[in-house]
Amino acid sequence: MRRLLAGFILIASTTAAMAGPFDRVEPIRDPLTRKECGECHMVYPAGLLPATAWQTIMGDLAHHYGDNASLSPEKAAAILAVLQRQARPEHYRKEEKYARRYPPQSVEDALYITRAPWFRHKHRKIKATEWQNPKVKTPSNCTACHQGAEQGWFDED
Amino acid sequence: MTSYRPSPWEFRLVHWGHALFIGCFAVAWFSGDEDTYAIHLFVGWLAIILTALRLLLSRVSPERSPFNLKRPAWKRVFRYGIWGLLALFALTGLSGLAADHWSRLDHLHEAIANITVWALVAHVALAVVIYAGRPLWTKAQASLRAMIPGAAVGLCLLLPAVSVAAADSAAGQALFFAQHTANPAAPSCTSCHTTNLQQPGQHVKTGRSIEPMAPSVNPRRFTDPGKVAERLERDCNNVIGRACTTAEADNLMAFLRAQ
Repeated sequence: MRRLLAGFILIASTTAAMAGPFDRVEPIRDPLTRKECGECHMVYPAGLLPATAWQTIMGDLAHHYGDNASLSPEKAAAILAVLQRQARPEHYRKEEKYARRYPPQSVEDALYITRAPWFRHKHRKIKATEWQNPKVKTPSNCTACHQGAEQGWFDED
Repeated sequence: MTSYRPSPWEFRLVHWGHALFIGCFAVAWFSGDEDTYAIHLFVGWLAIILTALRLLLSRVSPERSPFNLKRPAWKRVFRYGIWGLLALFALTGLSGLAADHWSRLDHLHEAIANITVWALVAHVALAVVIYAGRPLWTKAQASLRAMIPGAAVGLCLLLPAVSVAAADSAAGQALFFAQHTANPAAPSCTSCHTTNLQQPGQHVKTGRSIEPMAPSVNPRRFTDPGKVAERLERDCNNVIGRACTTAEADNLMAFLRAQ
């Protein structure tokens, strides 16, 4: 009986360990955030970046990844509050291990979901030709492959 | 009482003052639309400043000067009329400023403006009745002198208003389809919105689908003025590399709204 229980716990704990922190993320439900962010790009679940990154991003919308995405200060503040509430912790499991394998190239990398060590690790098997597929366009176009991305669902495979 | 005699310059200034007030009011009256709102706001401020200057002038000028609001030469009813008219001018301007912040006050502003028109008519009628004793030619000369600069100033102020009102849809179309050099990734509005405005577009960088631009197929387009201003500010910078001028924005909107 005790051996059975131990086996059960072992299986349960490995399964839990397999679902990483970025496989299922809380989706954005706030209507303003969904509307303003979703006008130009996928509504990224805030749990893909830490609060500090969201703060930097929302602090300079006039220079938003090369585009001008200016918002009124009131709207920007309301959206930042939502993003920070749902942001991921500053540190995550296996962070150092991934960071050793995929060291950051610049300070700006902290503002890119697609340059995070965990992202590179998880997408290490995707070939350049797959990224260049016209339906994909860019690694930041999550929904091209993860249909449920806006709903925070990334572990379909 | 001192033996003060007003100089001819004071009367000339009176005429010019009339011109400015009438010009301001006329431009404000005809530029109340959304399209010409910037000019409406400008003449509104001008009216407030003019009224303030007029009251200040009254305070510093001697009793017999035509600027003194207590001038004894005026019949009492005419004098009170001028006070009322100035108060109405100030109220119109100030209520307009308030309505700019709280749009609920729009109707109040319009109501005061309507009352001011009738006060203007009454002012002219009173002036005619009171000065009717003078020879007709003198009267005609005086009113003509007052009207010429009034018409000139009014025209000068109205011209930009008219040109904005007649926003050039063809120029807007040209700007929309033009190829710019500031942003190689998105050289034209059509980079994302495509050349068929009745079809959905696609964000050139993110691949995000964009609803059709044409209000004829997408009735919700351009219904939120705040959103329109936000998108113009962003996308002029993104595509042309600088903010659009008011005229360019008006032209673009004239073209897009008609799609």
